[in-house]
Amino acid sequence: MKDVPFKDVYLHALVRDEKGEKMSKSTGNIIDPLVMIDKYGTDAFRFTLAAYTAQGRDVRMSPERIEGYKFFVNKIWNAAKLVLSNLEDYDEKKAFKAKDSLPEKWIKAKLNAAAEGVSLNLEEYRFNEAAAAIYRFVWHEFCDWYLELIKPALYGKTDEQQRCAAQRTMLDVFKIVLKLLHPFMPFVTEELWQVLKGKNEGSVMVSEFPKYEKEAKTTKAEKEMQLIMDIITCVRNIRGEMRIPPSRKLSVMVSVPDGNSRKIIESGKNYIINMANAEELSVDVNLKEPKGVATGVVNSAKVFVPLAGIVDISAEKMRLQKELAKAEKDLQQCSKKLANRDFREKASSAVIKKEEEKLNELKERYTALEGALSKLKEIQM
Amino acid sequence: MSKETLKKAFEPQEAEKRIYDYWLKKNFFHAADESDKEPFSIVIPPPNVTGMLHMGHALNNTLQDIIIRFKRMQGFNALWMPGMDHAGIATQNVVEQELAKEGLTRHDLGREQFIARVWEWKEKYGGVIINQLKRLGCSCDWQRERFTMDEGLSQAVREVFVKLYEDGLIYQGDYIVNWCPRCHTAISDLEVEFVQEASCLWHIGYPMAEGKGEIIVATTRPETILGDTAVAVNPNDKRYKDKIGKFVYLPLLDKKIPIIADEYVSMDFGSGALKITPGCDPNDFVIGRKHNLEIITIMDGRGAINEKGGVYKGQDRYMARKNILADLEKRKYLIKTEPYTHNVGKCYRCKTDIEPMVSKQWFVKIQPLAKQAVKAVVEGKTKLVPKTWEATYFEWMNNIRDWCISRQLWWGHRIPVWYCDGCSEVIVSKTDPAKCPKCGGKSLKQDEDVLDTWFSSALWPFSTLGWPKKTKALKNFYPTSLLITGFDILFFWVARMMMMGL
Repeated sequence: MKDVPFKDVYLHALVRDEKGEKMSKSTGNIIDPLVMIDKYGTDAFRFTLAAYTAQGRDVRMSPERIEGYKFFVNKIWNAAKLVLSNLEDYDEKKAFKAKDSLPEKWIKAKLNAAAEGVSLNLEEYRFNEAAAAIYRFVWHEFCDWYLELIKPALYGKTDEQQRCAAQRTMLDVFKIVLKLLHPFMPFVTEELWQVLKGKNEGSVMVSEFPKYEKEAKTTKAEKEMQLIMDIITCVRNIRGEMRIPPSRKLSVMVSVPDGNSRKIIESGKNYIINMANAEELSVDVNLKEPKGVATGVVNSAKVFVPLAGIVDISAEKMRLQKELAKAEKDLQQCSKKLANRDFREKASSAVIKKEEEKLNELKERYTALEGALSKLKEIQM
Repeated sequence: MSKETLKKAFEPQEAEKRIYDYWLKKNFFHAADESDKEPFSIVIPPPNVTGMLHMGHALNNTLQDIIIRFKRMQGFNALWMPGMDHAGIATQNVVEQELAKEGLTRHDLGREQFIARVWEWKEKYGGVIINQLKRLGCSCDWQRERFTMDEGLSQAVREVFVKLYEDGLIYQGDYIVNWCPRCHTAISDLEVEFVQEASCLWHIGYPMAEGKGEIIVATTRPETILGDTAVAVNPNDKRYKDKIGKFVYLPLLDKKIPIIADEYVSMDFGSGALKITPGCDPNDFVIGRKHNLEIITIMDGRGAINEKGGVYKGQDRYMARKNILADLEKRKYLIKTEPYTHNVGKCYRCKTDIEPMVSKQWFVKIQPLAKQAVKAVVEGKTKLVPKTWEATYFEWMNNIRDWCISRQLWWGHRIPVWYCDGCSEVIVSKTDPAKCPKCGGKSLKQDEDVLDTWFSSALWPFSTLGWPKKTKALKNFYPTSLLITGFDILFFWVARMMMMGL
């Protein structure tokens, strides 16, 4: 032929069991793919293979791992059910004009990153990373956050505009998710696509693969949404660590360094109230820490949750001491790394800068925790 | 929006078959020969026709399907070329086992009938794996499915054989090959599996033919004494300086063999003297050629001692070993027996101990082809991913030995060489010749051997696209964009495709 037979040759490793042993009859650790397909479905099976195919490493398989991705298939299915059940009165024309709220802007930015992650990694045959990019997006960003954030809008607790935007975005994003997932999970994506597709659309397998904006900059909306989400997480963490039942409504106070942060948090007030199960939320610039509160730190903001009548203060003291010890350890590690000459010489300036930023954040966190602990001590005294 | 509601959970069992049939019906897997879209092509590593889907296939084909679906959605004219390999030894074994149940051997049927029986088997049971690939969701272009023994691919095999022969890259020669006494065929170096086994190292005294004394050699295979044609020592070994050029008696056989000098012999191993059996060991074979020693074949194809073995004639190789050791001991030639662990070569198919044996075989002269294949990777025309494999690839390609391509099987591409009964002319031809081009004689005999299975699979990337015909598919899809395969067949297959493609 006088020409090479192929441009790229991708060499994959062998499939072994989860301990890394070769599969053989004598060891009795052979996994029969057809049995796995019967039991967990082809989509879960295929996704597991992709998720564990890292370059230069053995592919370690076990039925439990495949079962784990069967849960992922269920998650996708349930998300589709939620999407579908909220589209009954969907009016495309009306939705077209509706303005995006923060969660819409945020999820679109995350979707762009996921599309980039899947595409770039598949182009380079990094199957595990491509699978991880879409998995993370679907499970954590779309299901855990976005669908939860828009529930009040979907259930008509906000204005019509927000509801339309949420419907439209939820549908559009989910359809793109199906496309991104299709190469890995061809069957379930086709099944759902056929239900959700538009009038002129055919099969997902011949639809156009999602395009993305390369190396998109983090938008203002993303940062704002992130701050609101961090505060929700912070309250949830306090609730978790202090063992406050999820049903118990809390009042939340946030202290911010400036008026801008205050505006952001106030605009996201309802999200925080809904997702952190708060009964009230107040935000103030440089709020003086009240007595008898649990304290959380989010960047330069502080979150206070009054504990009177809810939690035992001495346990809270222990918690802060534990956190402080961890922060101290992180701080030491970070400064040690930055002091290392080898690291300074080999790492790129961007990496070093990131590390320095991390150090500053840790210092802030440490000081804040230290303050909180001493405050708590004061309360007790 | 439709008011359709979804079931409680996805039911793969029911949905998968229905969806796959829908795709097939819509013909989505088919890539046109010509298209406005940019081509993207993958050829499947053809599973054996005897194959049943295992995790290796599942991984390999899932990865291919992920990429081909991705590319198809990106707007490429994406072709995934499917097919199966005829798998010479594996398939012949399966059908022979079937025959054995009826109390028959392939020899009872004769070549033609046996091959007919293999085809029958193939139609009935072969290709189970194709349906298994469909269950995996593979979006192969099934309209194009090929088989390494189909007409077009068989034509490609002949075309390449004749071309290589005419270019002087195929030759027939005496060579020491890895012989499997059970499969009754030579197998390639790659098909030998080495297994560590505990055995013994036997030290045997060979008396000097003139004067007193003896030379002690050590061996793990005392039965090969029957084929010894020299004892070799290192020319720098002071212990043997005055013995080089003299003779020793071969114990048990009334025969004198010379003491020769060769740098190859290690002075540190055992006594520093090595028995040389060119007919039974690949290294000895090389030394034998160099020193012009007689090459004696002491066994038949089943691994039993032949007429060269005197009183041991007819004994199986293991039986002969036992008897020879007993006789050596009885006659005080056996000096010492020590436990010894060494690597024993086994047939990768049936695990029988390999017997290195000299026979007439066909070879591909590989160096010129390997050089091209190395160059293509150096120049980046073909990229290996992960890149770490490139070093291994170069290492192997630079140390490659000629490729023994003949197999003493019936199932496979029969070697397109005929011998004229009248004038002994050797005819190498793409089509079956009717008469001898030299003497016009009509009594021609085709070579009995078939080609190594990997010979036809080495042509897979272009033969499946229609070569040697100048098809549109070939023009559009070759060179293929990507090959996805396990690293374990980098040399069996990938390297050979590289060599045959160039």
